[in-house]
Amino acid sequence: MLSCRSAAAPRGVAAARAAAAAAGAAPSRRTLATANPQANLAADPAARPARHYGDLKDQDRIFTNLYGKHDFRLAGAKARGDWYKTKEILLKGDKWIIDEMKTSGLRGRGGAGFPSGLKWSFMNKPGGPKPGQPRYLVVNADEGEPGTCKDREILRHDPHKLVEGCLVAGRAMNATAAYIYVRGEFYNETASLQTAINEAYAAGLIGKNACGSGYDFDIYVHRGAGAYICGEETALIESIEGKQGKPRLKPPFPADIGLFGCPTTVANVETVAVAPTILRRGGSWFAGLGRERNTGTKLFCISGHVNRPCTVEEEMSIPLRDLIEKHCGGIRGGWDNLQGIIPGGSSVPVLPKSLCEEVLMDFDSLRDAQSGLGTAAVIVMDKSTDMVRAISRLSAFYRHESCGQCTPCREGSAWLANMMTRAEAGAFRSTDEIDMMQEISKQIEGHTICALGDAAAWPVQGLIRHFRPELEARIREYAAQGHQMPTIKDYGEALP
Amino acid sequence: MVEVFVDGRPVQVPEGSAAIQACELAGVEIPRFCYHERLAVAGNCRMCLVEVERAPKPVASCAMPVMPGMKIKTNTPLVHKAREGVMEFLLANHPLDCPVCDWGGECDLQDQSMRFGSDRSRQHEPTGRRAVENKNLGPLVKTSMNRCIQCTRCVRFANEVAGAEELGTTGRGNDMQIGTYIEKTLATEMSGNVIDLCPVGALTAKPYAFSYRAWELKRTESVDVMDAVGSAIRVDTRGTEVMRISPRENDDVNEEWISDKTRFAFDGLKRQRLTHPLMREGDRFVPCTWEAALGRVADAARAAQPEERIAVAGPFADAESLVALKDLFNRWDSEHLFLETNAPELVGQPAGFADLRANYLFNATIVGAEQADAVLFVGTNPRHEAAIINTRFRKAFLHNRCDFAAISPEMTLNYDCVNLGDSLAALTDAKHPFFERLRAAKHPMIVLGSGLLERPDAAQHALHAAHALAKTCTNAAPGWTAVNFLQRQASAAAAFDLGFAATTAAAAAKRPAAKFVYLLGADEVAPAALPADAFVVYQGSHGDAGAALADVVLPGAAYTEKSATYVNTEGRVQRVRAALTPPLAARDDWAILRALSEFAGTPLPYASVQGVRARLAEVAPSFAAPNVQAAQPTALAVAAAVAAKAKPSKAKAKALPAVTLPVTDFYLTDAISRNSRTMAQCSRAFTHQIAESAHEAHIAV
Amino acid sequence: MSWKGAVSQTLRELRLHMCQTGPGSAGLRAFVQTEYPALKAQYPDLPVLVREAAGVEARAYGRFAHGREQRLTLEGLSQQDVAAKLKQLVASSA
Repeated sequence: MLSCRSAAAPRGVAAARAAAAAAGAAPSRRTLATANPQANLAADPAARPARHYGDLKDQDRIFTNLYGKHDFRLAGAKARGDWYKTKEILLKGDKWIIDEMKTSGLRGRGGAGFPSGLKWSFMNKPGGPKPGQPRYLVVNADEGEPGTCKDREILRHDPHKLVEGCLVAGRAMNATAAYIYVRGEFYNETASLQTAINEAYAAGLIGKNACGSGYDFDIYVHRGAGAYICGEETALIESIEGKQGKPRLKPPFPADIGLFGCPTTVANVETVAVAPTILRRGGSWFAGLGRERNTGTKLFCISGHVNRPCTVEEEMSIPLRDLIEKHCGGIRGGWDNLQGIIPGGSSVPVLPKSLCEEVLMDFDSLRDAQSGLGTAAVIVMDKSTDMVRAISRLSAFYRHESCGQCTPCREGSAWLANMMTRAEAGAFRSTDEIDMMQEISKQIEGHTICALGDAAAWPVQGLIRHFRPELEARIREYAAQGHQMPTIKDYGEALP
Repeated sequence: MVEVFVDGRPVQVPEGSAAIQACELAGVEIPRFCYHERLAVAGNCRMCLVEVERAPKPVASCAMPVMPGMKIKTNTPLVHKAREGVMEFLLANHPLDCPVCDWGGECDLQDQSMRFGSDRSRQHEPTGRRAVENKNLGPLVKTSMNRCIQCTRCVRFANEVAGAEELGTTGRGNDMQIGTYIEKTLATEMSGNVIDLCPVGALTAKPYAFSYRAWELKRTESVDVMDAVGSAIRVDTRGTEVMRISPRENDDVNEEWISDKTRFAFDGLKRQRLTHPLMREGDRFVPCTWEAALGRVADAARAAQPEERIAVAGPFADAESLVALKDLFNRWDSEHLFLETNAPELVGQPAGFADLRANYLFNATIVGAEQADAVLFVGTNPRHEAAIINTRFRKAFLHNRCDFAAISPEMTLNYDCVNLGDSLAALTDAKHPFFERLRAAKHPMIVLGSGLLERPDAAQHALHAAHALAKTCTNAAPGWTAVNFLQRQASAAAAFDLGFAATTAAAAAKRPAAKFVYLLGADEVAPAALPADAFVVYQGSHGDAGAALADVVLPGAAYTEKSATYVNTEGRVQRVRAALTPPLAARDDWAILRALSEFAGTPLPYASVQGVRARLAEVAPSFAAPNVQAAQPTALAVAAAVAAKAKPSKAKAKALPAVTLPVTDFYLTDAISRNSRTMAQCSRAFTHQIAESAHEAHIAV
Repeated sequence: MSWKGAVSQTLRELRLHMCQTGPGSAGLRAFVQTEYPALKAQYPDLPVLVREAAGVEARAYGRFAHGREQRLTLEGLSQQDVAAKLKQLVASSA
């Protein structure tokens, strides 16, 4: 089955909307393209809803074996349309490929959302590389962001999309080879990927004279060893080079000095894997899906308190509520049982129920809601969730995963984690400590070498912004029950 | 040059500079912990954040290269908040050790938190602060790793400059620790420099821990004499005691580093000092007056024939006393003057060696050594003999892909070096593939060691063969000198410059048995080389081997107690300054000789320091121009011509003995270091690799 | 030029001071380059100290027995004149 939604009930969403309209509910709720009330609908074309987003047709899907129902090997991949006319694509040359990618409006699917066509074009600077200096494509299959589980589906069920993607992306960048960095925990996924690569080599699709185009291209797989920070692009490069996975300073950027000192582009698995399909169907097809500047399709990973958690490919800019209702069977206990959703993986701030009803799942809409699309890992929390404890668990994650290089993240993430542990019990001296926690998170944000500092700060900021009353209630109750503030004797050994 | 604006003021900076350097040129002080001009940029303390126009977030100025027209703002509320925030984080896990920390008073963290940090603390986490185990890095560097702020300066220094790759980081996040992980000591002769580099009191000096506060010390700028590099140092004293030796910056010589011997051997200045003139009576030394001692010496000198009088200068003899001794002996018509580098047998120099400065100096200059791309060592271990110059070679290794080879016994250097065996035939043959590299190099270097001078014929041969080899290096850049001589003793270059050590081997072989021996701080003379009935005078600072041979002992001053001149291995004339007075009855060395000349009836024509220095300039004009290194083109040309005429042959080379290295233990090479307890501990720990006891290692502290 | 028998018994040391590049020392520099090897070949044990420093005038010092010294200015002289004057110096007995 290619879609979670039953094919027997088309227009289900429209039917629901009609029913709601008939019941007298305000229809404007669904037509707001952005949650930002100040958006000038007339001035900003993207704010004006062009149409309703989210009814991705099967013929517009890219990932047709997301659930592993079909053969992942070369034969199955070819049957699904992979490796079709790849030689012709390669022969069209780097400029054509990059122009198509720019037309498509594809933005990086790894969390940062940088326009891919532009990013890949940085590799082809005028003047060319130094003589004898290779250029590399590095694929980030570390997938460490909590809540994300899309890349593993590509790796184990549709690896040939990635392999072909590496080849055409490499061609666009005039790269010599691709290194796919897979997190160490993905043992089976690595095995499937390596099988696909071996098949591609055997069939002459990659390696010397890939697909008979005259272009030589190799693909290597490198396994990680269990660090979230190695998902950061420069830390990933350091890890492949055999060093500790500590992010580098930027500038210089990887496109100038990257892997082994050579120009390198680091791209997410999904970004690279959709490239061949875009090139076959045309960039304008991809640009026709989703809102302007937020084009195409996206794999969404919805987990948590929904009836049917799943990974699904949908059109960008689909309203969050539609995504959950349509593909996951809705929130357990009904929509009104929702407390909050983290829309893009643990690094982005949580959204309360009121905002969840209004946002569209794309980069701009979520940014306007003071969150972010990130990796589109949707973590749904219903009213049974202790929100403070949930965010505290995330803070503990960032404290554990901080590499320790720069002062704000190393010290600040530990401090935040300690404070959040106290916040779970409400053991703050007063509600002023909430402001202190906010300030500490602001001292980390923007002052670090890599984005892990920001990622450690945002969940706490989201909690304070939307769930402050919860925190204050806990503090009052703790004080009211006459507890003494804990001392070091209460903790004994160090806290996790 | 690029123009940028710092707080609205335009400033011109070289292209490729970092923003922090632009701010420095503009006169704005940017706080920093991890940035250091001589180490790679790490950018991890985040204290140097500044605001740059049109940048979305504050920028680490140490890591941001300047762009034309960049507008940097260092005084805005954003910058102030960023600095306060980072400082707060640094102090979050930093223990309140100031009262018991050696670094208090000269601590970067203290200074910057007072100036740039917040005025109040918000630390009330009941979990307390991070605790980290102390590491045992050896007898020199004391570690209190609770205080470490993980700036990684020590790691970068050890890995890049010192070549000691055992120091690194382990652990992730808040558990990150600096250490060697597998319980190794920091066995490099540059290890003491991490003490200066560490911005907090995590790495401090173990030998003089807890013995002073920085504000109690009187600072005197001086120059080191423990080797021939002439590193710029600062002698810190309190009262009548030297408390420590710190480096000074001199980009042309030692950059900002000093070797461990330079830094820690000074406690030898307080032991076994000669404080009174002594006369031997039977098997005892009896203190006497200066008049009695000098009178006795003068009488003994008069009793001997001119040819029967010899003098030997030790490693710490300063130029003033060398010229005074030479003038005195010359007035007595005595010409046999030796350097301790020819010890222990007093064999004299190769003919013409002292004539041409290019023969006995490091011609490429210390700074020039950085540019080398192929280096051949002959009979020298630069790590032990000139640790600072060795860091330049390491720089060449890292940045220039320099290749190294050595004709010597096996030695361990902190860069790859091919060993070509210990026969000088390898130099004359020049068949090994390395020589192809040398001939093709743009900046080839052949470095001859002072150990060769123990056999003048070997030294002569090596010198001529080196010139012959240099002639075949046709790819060398114009103006580059390939042949170099590396001195290991501070007195050597001055002695050669003054013609002190001009006695040739032939002349030395012809001299009769000595009846009057003047040892100017010379302790390495073999007792067998001195006749049993010779009258021996020892003038020096320590009662070491030389004094034990003497009939009269004259107490002189150590290098921290006199104002004197030394010439380093490049030929650079530098002055040491007196930080203390000599102990008790000891006197300035040249003054003792001047007084002796009076007693001997042959008074020297100078009676003041200025007079002696004028005489120095009269003998060798380089003494009139201190602190510069003078090239010697004429001497070089002549040296090459002489070498060409000599035609060193393989047959001659085969007859020569194997090349040896003069320094077997870096930490015990002269009277001062032999009397130093710290150097003894280092010798045990690093040369002989005997582990310290836990008590000595101060692990619990 | 032959140096046989040119040096007196009482000469102990000859010092030659010159500037590396100045025109006044040109004669002395040329002299050293040409004559030094021959002089040393004839008198290998005689110290002939060649000392160059920036900006010094060309000078020669002869040191004789008992430390007596004689000083000679060679500034601005040609190589031949230098040679003549030095021959005179080394032959004397101070």
